[in-house]
Amino acid sequence: MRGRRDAAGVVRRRRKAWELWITIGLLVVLPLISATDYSLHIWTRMAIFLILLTGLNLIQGVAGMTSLAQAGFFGLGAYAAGISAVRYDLPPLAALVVAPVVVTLVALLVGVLSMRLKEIYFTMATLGAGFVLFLLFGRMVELTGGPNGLVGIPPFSIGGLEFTEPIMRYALVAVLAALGAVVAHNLLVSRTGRALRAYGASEPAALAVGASPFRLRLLAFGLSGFYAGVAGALEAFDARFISPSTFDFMTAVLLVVALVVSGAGRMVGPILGALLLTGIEVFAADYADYEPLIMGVIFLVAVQLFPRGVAGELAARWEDRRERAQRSGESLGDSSAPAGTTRTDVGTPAMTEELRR
Amino acid sequence: MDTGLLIQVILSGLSVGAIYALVAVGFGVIFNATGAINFVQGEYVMVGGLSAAMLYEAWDVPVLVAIVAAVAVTVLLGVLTEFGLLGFGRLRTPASITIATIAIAVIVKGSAMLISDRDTYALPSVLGTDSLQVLGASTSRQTVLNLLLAVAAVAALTLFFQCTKLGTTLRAAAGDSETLQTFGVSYRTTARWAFVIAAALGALAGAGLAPLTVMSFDSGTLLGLKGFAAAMLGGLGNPRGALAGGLLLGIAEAVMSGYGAAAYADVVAFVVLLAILTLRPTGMFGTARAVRT
Repeated sequence: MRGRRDAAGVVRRRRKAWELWITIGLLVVLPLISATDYSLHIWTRMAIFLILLTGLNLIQGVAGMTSLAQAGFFGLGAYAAGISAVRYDLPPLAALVVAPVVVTLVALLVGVLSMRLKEIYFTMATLGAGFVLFLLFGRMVELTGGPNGLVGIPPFSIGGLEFTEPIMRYALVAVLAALGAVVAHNLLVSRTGRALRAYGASEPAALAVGASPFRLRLLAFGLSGFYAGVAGALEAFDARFISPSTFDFMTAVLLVVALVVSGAGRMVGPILGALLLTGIEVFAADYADYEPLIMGVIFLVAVQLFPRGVAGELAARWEDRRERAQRSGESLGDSSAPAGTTRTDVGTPAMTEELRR
Repeated sequence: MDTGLLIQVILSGLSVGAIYALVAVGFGVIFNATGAINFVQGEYVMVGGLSAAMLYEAWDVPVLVAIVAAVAVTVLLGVLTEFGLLGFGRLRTPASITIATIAIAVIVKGSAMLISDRDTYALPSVLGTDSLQVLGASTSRQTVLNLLLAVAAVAALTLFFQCTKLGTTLRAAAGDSETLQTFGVSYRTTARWAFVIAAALGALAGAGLAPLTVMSFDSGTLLGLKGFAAAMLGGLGNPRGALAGGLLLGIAEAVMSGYGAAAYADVVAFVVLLAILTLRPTGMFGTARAVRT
């Protein structure tokens, strides 16, 4: 019995790693498919979204709390990097370090204030935080350049090496995105990650076991801020111009919806979400006026069809089928085993999946 | 200190605050019935104000008729919202309903952008353009109308919730929706009525807002979120709290912009939202409810 459960655990972990390999594989393959300046620019955007969503996935998908502050944090990262490079003449590498640190601190502060709230109240608190940041980007004109944006951000450079070629810019973002995905994956399969997942799945059950989820959630929220900070700094050095409208409420909503629709809580969710967001951006360039309407309809349909996200829904179906196959297989071949044990064994993966909803 | 300026500031605060109050009441009604935050609430204000102003400007419809028509359009939108959210029978948790309301808000805003072609429209006040002198300050007559509207709406809703059968049902839904369903009251019916009421409130708020500013497809989102901050300030789901919260928030914003920090006036609502959620998440007048884990 025990041996079989261990084997199931290995299979589960390998399946999760497989989701990670899709992410990294796509980052490598995309520039091989097309490497024109324009498509490299698109891939770079995609990789920045991937970092943002990987961070958001920690709090949204794993801890199960919707954060509408991610766009604000993204902007804070971009402005922190941009301002330290433009106004304080910091070398880009230092700015790339400063930005995530600043954002993590702010995220921890917001987290301390709001983390004890129930889900919807927490969401609205993060909305408040995101909006304060967004409004400040537009109003602190001396520092941020106001609604006209911050201009004159230098390209990223290490020593004398400037990242101005599109392929270099993509490589920088892609390497960091892959690194971020690996870190997130390792965190999720670790003990901490499983505990976090348990809180997200069933708070009463997790609380009944005895621990307060406060610290773990704060950790997840701080980390999501860190990812947003990195993404923001990369955005600043890639676009070399930032303006508040990039980080508005709509972006916050888009990030959450893209992740939810693709499959929050799964490793493959962020990459699907990033592809979706990039697709929308490319598509929006052609149909500017109809974009919000079409996007809204797509989101409504997607949310109605896949309340657990496309990946979540497919995985749940796959689990169901596997469970059914396993049950029929065991009732045929394993009839000698005590009925109770068999049921527990079969029930475990299904229950985990149930809890995750 | 200049008293004239102070009174001026307070009056303009009350004028906008009354609108926030109407929006806040709408948030409360939906929250009580479904447990979700209705992000379309701000868009109801936009649709109400914009359609009234468009009817008036583009088709020369008399102001009052335009307002009645706008309320009708918005109520229809409310019914459609409910259908879009619950008509497919798949969304059950408040969190997923909330996310779906965001999608609907995007659809409504996107449609309004196409219909209005990004133009702005204005609506005159029903009371004419004369200004009103109060203690050395001058204000538009619309201020008085908005205040009356907000107070009347809150009073009417309070009566409705206390004295009618439907009102009692809606209150029961807020208390324990599942028990109510075992009594044979459909969740969808209560939800639909809640959306009708919320949309009507939003449309009235829009009609009250349009004479103070110009309306465009973009007028709803920020206003709706500020209305939510007002609702939290007063206690989500409590009409009287919403009135107090809305007026207070309006005054706070007006003081901020009247005394030199106009650029940061918009920030006030969200700082208030964060502060009230941190310090007293049930709001000033909220009923005891589990909001923390």
